[in-house]
Amino acid sequence: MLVRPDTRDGAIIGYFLGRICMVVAAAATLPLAWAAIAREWAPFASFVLMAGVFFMFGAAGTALKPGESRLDWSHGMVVVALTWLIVPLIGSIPFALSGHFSDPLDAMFDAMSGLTTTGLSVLQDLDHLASSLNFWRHLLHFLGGQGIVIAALSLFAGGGGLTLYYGEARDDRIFPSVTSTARFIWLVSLGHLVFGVALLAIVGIVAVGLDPLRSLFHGLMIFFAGFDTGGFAPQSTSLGYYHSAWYEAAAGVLMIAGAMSFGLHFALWRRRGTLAMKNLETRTILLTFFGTLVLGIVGLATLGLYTGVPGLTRQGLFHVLSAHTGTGFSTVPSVEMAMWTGLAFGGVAIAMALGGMASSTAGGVKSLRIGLTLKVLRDQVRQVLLPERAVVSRRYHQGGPRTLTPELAQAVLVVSLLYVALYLFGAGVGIAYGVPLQEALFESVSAGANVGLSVGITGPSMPMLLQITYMAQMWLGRLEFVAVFALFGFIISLVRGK
Amino acid sequence: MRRLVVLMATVLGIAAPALAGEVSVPVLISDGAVFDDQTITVEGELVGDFQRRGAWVWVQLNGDSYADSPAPAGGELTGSNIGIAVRFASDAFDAAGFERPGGYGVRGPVVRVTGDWRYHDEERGGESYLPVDSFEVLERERRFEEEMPWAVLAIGLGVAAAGALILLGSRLSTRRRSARARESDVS
Repeated sequence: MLVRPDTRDGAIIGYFLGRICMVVAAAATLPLAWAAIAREWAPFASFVLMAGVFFMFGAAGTALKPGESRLDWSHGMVVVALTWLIVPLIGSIPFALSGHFSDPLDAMFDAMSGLTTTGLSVLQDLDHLASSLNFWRHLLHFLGGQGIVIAALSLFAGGGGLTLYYGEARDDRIFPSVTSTARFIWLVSLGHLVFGVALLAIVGIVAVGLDPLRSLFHGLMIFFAGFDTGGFAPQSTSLGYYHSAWYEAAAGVLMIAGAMSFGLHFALWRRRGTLAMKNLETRTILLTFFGTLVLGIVGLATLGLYTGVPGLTRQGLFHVLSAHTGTGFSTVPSVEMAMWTGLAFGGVAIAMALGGMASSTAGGVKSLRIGLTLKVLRDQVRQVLLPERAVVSRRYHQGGPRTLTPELAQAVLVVSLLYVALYLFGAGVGIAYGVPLQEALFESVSAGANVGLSVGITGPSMPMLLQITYMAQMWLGRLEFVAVFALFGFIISLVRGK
Repeated sequence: MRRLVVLMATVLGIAAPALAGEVSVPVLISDGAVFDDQTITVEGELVGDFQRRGAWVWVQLNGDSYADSPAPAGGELTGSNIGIAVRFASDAFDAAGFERPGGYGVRGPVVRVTGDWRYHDEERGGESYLPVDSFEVLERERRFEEEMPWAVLAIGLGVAAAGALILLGSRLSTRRRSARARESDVS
């Protein structure tokens, strides 16, 4: 029997949502200050409005403080799922008022894409966009990539942390306490921020020929989008804007760092790199990366789009890396990307679908699940081939020896299949609108795996239903389904519960 | 001297269309291979940054409707920007005396450039770009300003004030409740 949630449940959810809104209100003061310094007064006013709305929701939510009641699993999941709807909704206010979007849905699309670190965009005339608005787009990547809830956790110690942490598709507990883990994640990110911005700024000045101040600006934006595997860029031609292999290499380093799990960052920090190489996840991602890279380069060579080794390796490597890490940077226009058919399409699309490591800022099925799925398949085949009484080892290495239990195998397979279904569903909607199969599949995988590479389907003139489908895919893909399903369950309980 | 170089570039630029095919940027983007190694002339706005690399200056040239009127200046929304990379010789570029590329608050210089289109140039790792042989400045930079939307600001401040009142109210009510609880404990 379904139990209808009561007002106390509503108060708990409202209270935690309020706390998170307060954190985002504080974050919203950054672009506000930026706009004031840059004397961009129209965006300034819109940031005041956005920060004010976040603050008001935050105040209203925290006023619901629910006495002794604690946050349970279902509350936590509902809080996370709603957070990832409310933040893009309110966060789209400056976009909607900027004059760069045709309607509020377009503005919400970009905010959702930014927060989920997808990078698909329907923004028009990006090259005349205010710098503070550009900063807000990229800051959304940073907030989403690190996890807004993680931000709230690292600021507010207290009950309910674990459920919120798992709800945001994190399962790597580096320290026994979730708050300490959240703080470690932010520490790693801030360390990378300093290193990454400095690296990009120097390369920007030396190799690209940018002014120092502009180089710092570009460095900050590309850092947010690269390390958080987002894919937005400050100019309309993405990474192609810089015409520099050095700049692409610097961004590539950050993309790899972003696609690594924070557990692996911790292992490297503790100088346990050799041990990390034994991990099933590390081995799987290396295998799939080189596999898709070969596929991509051979495909490009077959198409004859690039006639020499430098072009093939640079373009093939960069785009497969961008796809596999879930970043979505590109150095070619989307119409050219659409020409990547056959094996080249296969290499990039498979890399996008597989994604980065679990508990990283990347999207997609994730390497650990791929590794475990392959192990399940291999074990099944071995079981069939070996004598009946033979026992097949179910052990694997991931931060230490672990056992692949039937429950874990089932969970892994279910989530992997859900991703496949998500990709196919989005492709189906695209096909229904007359988009050719290959392009529909490419764009759908890009949205569902939070990548952001595009063959030109995503744009200001795309059908509304397709736009909503991609937004739902970004939301589901980023939260890895569970929190969203919990929200649906909560709503059903509200309607049909007793 | 500076004026002379600009004039030479201008003269070459005016003469260029007679020799080279006029191509729009959107056509060049969608059919880049067709124009490989051909002398072409394209027109558009210089945006972003002037990337100075020794003997060359790299800039993005946009051939979209925003070159006439950018979105923040009230230009009609017509889709995403459409741009290509162009490479100028530094001395000719400097002689033209461009102040700023297009960006927020500035509609960049609009130029007509002529050169041999390089599509997936292997010498540059597969990049596509137009090395400029000659160019003509059609329009200089134009600044525009967005005014402060006072109504949006007032609503924003009003909403924030409402939030502050709610916060204050809830704090006071919590304090009262705990004071009452303390009193009942004492009694």
